[in-house]
Amino acid sequence: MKLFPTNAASCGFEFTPQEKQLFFEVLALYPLTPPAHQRLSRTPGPDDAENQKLLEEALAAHRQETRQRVQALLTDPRSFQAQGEGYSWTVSREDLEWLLQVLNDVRVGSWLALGSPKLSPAPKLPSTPEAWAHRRAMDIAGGFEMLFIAALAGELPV
Amino acid sequence: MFLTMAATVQPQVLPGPGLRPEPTTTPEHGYVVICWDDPVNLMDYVTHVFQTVFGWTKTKAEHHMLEVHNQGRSVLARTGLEKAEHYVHQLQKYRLQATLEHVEE
Repeated sequence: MKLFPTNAASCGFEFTPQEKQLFFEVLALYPLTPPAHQRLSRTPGPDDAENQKLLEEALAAHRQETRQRVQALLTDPRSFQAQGEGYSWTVSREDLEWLLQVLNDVRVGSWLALGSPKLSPAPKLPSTPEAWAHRRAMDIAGGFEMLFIAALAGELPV
Repeated sequence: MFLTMAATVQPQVLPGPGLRPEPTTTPEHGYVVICWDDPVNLMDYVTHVFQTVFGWTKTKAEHHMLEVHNQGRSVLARTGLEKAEHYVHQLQKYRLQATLEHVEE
């Protein structure tokens, strides 16, 4: 993947077909993190149930809106323009932010599905096809996160 | 294909103003926003989220990221309930383990 020169409001990338396929595979997994993973507080309080319910409603609304954005990206042929043997993709910095949220939802959800293993030192290799799929999604999502953060910081080689 | 996912190079931490909770406890500052350690979130990612949500410099964001990494948690803000809920919601959109806790008088 390459970054090509863009302006302050957007970033441009060149994807190989394989990179685009991996990116779309990961996006299609969204949402993966169970809502119950997020707690408003760890200290018991009188309004816990109500506050937790409000938080989950807010996150659910955000999840629904984000799911629609993901679907639009996956299905709109104008998102990725064929160029040479690959694709070019121009994305606003604002859109990269919600895409980071999507990628990390998939990363965290995959990690939870693996049983929340310690990642340092590297965990044992997965023993089932299902676990392999989660491990793969977790690693690919993390890889794209790092690329996008580097692009937003202007640190990705052009 | 991907950049390395190795740990972030540890920066020299230069604490600036506002890195510690305010000493007073008032209704307007009765809650703290805490980020808890979570081995799955990448260090650069956490730093980026702190910069985005709080508008911090990279140095300050890295300071808090390392506090989370090394001490298991970091107090990110001390504020009123409404603003604390807002921050927690923003952080949780990024799937960070963030909570708000009431500060006892």
